[in-house]
Amino acid sequence: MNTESTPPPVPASSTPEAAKAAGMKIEPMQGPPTLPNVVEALLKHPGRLLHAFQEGGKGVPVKLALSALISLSVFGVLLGTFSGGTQLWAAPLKITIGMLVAVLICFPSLYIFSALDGLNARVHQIASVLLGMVALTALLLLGFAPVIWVFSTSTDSLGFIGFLVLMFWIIGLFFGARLLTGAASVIGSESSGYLKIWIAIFTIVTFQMSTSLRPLIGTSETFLPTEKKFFLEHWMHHMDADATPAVRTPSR
Amino acid sequence: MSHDSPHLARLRLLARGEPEALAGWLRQTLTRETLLTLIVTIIAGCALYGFGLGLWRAPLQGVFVAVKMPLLIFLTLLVNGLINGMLGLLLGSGMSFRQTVVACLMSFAIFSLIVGSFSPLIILWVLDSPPPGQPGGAEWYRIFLLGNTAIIAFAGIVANHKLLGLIQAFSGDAAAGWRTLVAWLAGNLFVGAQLSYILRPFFGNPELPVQFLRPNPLEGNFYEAVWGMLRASIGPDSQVPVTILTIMLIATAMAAISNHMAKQAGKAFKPIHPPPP
Repeated sequence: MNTESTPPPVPASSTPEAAKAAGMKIEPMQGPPTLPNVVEALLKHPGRLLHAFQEGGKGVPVKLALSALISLSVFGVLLGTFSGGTQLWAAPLKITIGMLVAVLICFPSLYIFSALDGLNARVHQIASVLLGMVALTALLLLGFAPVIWVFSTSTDSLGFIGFLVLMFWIIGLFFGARLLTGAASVIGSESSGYLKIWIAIFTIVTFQMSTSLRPLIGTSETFLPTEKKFFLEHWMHHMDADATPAVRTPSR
Repeated sequence: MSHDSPHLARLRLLARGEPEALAGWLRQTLTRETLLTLIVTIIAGCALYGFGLGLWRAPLQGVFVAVKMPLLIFLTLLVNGLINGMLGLLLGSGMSFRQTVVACLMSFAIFSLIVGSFSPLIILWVLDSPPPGQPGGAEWYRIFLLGNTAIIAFAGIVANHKLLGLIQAFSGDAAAGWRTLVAWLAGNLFVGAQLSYILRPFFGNPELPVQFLRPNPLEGNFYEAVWGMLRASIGPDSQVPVTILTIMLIATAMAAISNHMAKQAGKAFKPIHPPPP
């Protein structure tokens, strides 16, 4: 008998202890998986999403993808108001494509790293959890978008807006990563060391993506850069360019 | 037996700021009257106090600041409403978006009650002061700035302390209360500082004209201005050590907050006045 063709059973549900430790209560979705219901579950009851992932339906993952798409697009448009013109459509397009590419190229390593952490889950489960992470990160960026807009209307400093966006990006990724590790522990992960390494890799990939698709903020003669750069080199270049000695004293 | 109108009863509830009572109020269905009480309290308290702030420069400046101070609060809430609601949900406050907005309004209403209660004092203080340009005016202006900074800081600390109690009572989790308060406070201070920069002047520099907004209010931002002034005052040689010191101070403060939260983790919120069985 070929035992290799029969994979080990995937845990149908988590232990109550793991779910409690991760702050997630595994329970069915309340009502149909509409966009508002899925967004509410993402923020308030992530355990409901995990339950839906285990059920294997496509409704919740599709709504998560839609939520991420809308959130990143709106965030991108508001970020584009800093420069205006073509950036109003280029910034949302680049941010969405950048996130999609980062997710696609990091997904294989996520699957392997989650297995190294002792997670015995199917590909679609891992993909759905990753989708949840991206959707939550994007949703938080949407929440920060009005703040970005307030500052973008009152500064010309690329360095300042870049730093602000970077901070908000890191905060969004922090909560997204928290969802990923929490969900992994609920599904059956024994540790989270490898997942944390993967999160660091994913973060660096998104930073590099923002450099490879530059400019996300500011203007350029070409849609995509003609010169290849490492993201740290790109940031340093802009910080040096911004460090002008001009001093503006506010009038009270 | 009390014969207060519902509005006065709500104002007393706000001023007493008992966490369980405020949490109970928050759990109720939001009515127009409740919203009206909170909004009117913020407008009245901040407008009265704002009038006192600008009065010394000129009565017209007082009117301008009376309009701008409530505006500053509502704009801060508007800009941060979405992210505050999301962070509240993620950090375990247990509040919906609507409840988050109402909780923040309650906190700002408590702030407004406090500063509003100081407004007669401020107005009398101004009326009894040397006017701008007269001998002693400049010294008095500095004391006035300092005194009002202390009043605003006091009102802010009390309002946030009440907000912390409210979140803890609502969520039943002491650590969740701290986490949510720190997140909301950081966001509101960050955006509030920039909005106050856009809406300046508030105190009204005696050397500058009376204006609703300074020319080009959207030019520059608060943090760049502070950074620019810091760089100019410390000189080029000290910039790196001062920056490192600032980062270390921020990191130490964050570590202290994180440590405090870790100690609070798992502790249930203990109500001072247990609800009746």
